[in-house]
Amino acid sequence: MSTLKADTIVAADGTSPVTLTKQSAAKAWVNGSNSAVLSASFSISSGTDNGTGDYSYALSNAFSSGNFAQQSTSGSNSPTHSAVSNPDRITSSVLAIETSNNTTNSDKEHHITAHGDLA
Amino acid sequence: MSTVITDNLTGKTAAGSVTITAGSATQSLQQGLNKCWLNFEGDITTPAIRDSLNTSSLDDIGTGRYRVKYSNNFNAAKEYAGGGMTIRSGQSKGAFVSQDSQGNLNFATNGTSISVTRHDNTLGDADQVSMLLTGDLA
Repeated sequence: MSTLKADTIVAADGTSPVTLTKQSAAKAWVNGSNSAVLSASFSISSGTDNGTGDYSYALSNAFSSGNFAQQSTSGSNSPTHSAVSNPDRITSSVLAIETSNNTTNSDKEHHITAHGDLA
Repeated sequence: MSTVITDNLTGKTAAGSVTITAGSATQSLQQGLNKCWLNFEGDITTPAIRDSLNTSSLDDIGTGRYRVKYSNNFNAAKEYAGGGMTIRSGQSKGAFVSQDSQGNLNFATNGTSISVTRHDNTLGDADQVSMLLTGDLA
């Protein structure tokens, strides 16, 4: 068995993104409170509570476009609660989610994970 | 193109810290890796894991409610992120997986409970349930 020890890995040209064979890593994720406070996060610089059940998060490193894959879920003990991505606020540098109770926005803790290519 | 072939990749300065270039940014590799994922059949008497990473057990704790335990624990409770989706056989509408705080594990270090919510606002067992978790392991 071989072990490679390194602090930073870059492509052979010294600047291009590194390719992980047949897999990719999430570029950002956040565990946010019901007021957009960061309970834990990766590559998130700040959270914003835009109103009831309406949250957005600024990315430390932007995606190459707004077409990244975002996975969202709410923390809930009720089957009437749900969470969806919010395309009205999503940009290459912003993750956004709405949490709801039935058809009405409702404040809930929530989780977001995002995959894609960084700028 | 050059390719590094190795079995293990470890941080030189700190074993758990390796950064990679991703676009024009350089950011942590291990922070972006999923630490746990699973795909299971949840609409049978005893839910069965089809495939998974870092799971030690799966329990049925009620209609549309399941408990997953990890082989390697997370570093801190509620300080990791999860997401999921379901496909319910025979039902045209989708469903969500969400954190289930009624379970006896609520994003704990060693496991969590999840629930499958249908669009008619009821909990329901589902044929295919998938979940992934990101965060720091202990």
